[in-house]
Amino acid sequence: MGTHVDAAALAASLRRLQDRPAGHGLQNSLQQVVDACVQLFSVTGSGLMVADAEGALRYAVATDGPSQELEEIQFEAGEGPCVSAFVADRLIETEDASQDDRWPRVAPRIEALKVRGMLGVPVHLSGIPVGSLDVYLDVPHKWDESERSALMRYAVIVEAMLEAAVAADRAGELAEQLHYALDYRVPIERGVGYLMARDGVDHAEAFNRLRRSARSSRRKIGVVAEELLKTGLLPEEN
Amino acid sequence: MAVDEQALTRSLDSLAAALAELDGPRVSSVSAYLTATVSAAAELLDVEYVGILLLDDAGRLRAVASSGALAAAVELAQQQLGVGPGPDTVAEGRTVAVSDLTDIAEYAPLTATVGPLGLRAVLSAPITVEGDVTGNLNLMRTDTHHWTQAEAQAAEAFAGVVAELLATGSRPLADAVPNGRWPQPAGTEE
Repeated sequence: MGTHVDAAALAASLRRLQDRPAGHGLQNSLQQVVDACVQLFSVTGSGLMVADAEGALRYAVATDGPSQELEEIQFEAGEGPCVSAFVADRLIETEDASQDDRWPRVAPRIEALKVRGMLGVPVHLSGIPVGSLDVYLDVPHKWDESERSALMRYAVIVEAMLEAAVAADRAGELAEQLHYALDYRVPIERGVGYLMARDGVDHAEAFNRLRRSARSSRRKIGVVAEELLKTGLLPEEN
Repeated sequence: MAVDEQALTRSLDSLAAALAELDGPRVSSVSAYLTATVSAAAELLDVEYVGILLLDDAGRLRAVASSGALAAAVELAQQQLGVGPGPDTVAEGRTVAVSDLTDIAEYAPLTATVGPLGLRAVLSAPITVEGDVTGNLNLMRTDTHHWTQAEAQAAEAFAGVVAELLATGSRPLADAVPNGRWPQPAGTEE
């Protein structure tokens, strides 16, 4: 017997909760999730980044100052472990982010934050990557399989929270970002597929090209994807 | 007036089932979130079984989710007996750690029911929504186990995440009911 949920009992419990006054926003709910992440994984800090309409990862929530700065640094530079996890749509790990030559623009700034071992996993909504969840330690660390597996399981809970928030039609900037990702899921995926075929690149690189094009033209990634599908060209190729 | 408790329970259960069907897609969504969460909890909190008890709209503690047959039996027994770490957690609004169920005399009815299944240690953390204790997260082991402070804190943190999921998931339900109110069981209208 696997996990079982009693739908009738759950419905009765949800009815009990429905008459509460409207609670806090999605941001606070996610804050609770990253705070719990630190407790569960015994790490120094944790954060969640969510893609904006231009496909750039932005700070959403973090447990501490360095985690927040870490996210802001990666947003500014457009690179880093969290960005890589999102763009490549896979788990990214580093024993010491401050010495990792995969992210030369952010490594020196990460060193100043005393961030060392980092583990990042993509977070999905309806099957598409919409952000990344990361944990870090203030000492170098070689991550093992149990730690990787556990963070991936935890990301599933983050995804459940995002799905619930979107289903509940919660308001706020973060919820809008998530709605945008869902609304433009089809043209973005088709645009990525087109670039893969046209340029002979993999999914991660095609998605990254679309993102870069949206950012450099200051347009929404969904709009850029739709135009690509119409004209066969990215904005800078016109 | 004499009340047939069993008939009342059956009636409430059938009403709840009907209401669940009425709002099937949304209950299904929250059910899916809970399934993912409970499945992950056993691995993340390093225990054998996990269960969730929640208060329903009549104030009764109900077995809502469980990660396996033993957990389902334990949660159902706590619901029916009203005895155990889960009910105590909800009543007292604090985490209850039990190293060995057989050591606790007041849990004898529960031990008699689920002891043969092998349950020994339970850690029960309150699920609190907006300051209101609304249920509990039960972590279970088949060996005796002294729960550490770190394990208790991790369970409480995880229960907090479950609370956020429930709080978020309960919102759309209100949109689906007639006039924003659920029909009340006969004889309980205000």
